[in-house]
Amino acid sequence: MKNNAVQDERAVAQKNKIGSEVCNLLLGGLFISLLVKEYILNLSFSQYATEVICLFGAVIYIVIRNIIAGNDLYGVKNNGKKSVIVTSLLCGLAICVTAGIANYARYYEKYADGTFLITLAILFVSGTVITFFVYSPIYILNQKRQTKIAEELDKEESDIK
Amino acid sequence: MKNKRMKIARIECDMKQEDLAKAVAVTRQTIGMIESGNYNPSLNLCISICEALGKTLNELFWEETHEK
Repeated sequence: MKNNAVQDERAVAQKNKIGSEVCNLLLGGLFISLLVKEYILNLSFSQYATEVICLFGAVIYIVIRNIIAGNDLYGVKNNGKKSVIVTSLLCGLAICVTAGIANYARYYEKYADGTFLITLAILFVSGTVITFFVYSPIYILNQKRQTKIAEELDKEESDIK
Repeated sequence: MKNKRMKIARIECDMKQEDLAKAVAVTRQTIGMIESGNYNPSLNLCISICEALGKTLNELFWEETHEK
């Protein structure tokens, strides 16, 4: 029997887009909730651990799924190493600023001359190094996958000649 | 279904997948997937490919099996 069910591709694409928007809104909401709990309500980590786990889970899923699907996460060719370093530095700076503000708000009475600057430097260096060590394996995995895809395409391309 | 006509048209234009990908602003992987029949391009992308290869939509994308 012939299946006459309507498969409207426009409606399907629209539904997928709505699903994606909802996902982005949820992730944004989680991030805002995390910031509010950490910096405004000053709650302990255990009270916002769910948000952190969900955000990390989502990020890991997005990265792994994109690498498996063969999407180039770094986009710009031959500029990946530079982007790893720039991203690490920017993340280090962001961590330094956010954690520095939170730190100062909580412990400003304990900071003597120069101690706060040392704290900021430690935050910046540790943030940059940690981001670099997290980001580099992703970059290497992405490069390996891209190389494999390029080899497969080369093989297919040479087959027809 | 493999799109051999697109592959042949590309080779006739002396273009590599990378060149065509650049010409129509997509990745090489997308061109490879269209040629191997693993991706259904949008009408806009089909038109861009036709313009880049100097062919018509019929010449590249219309299958004889669609004729009545």
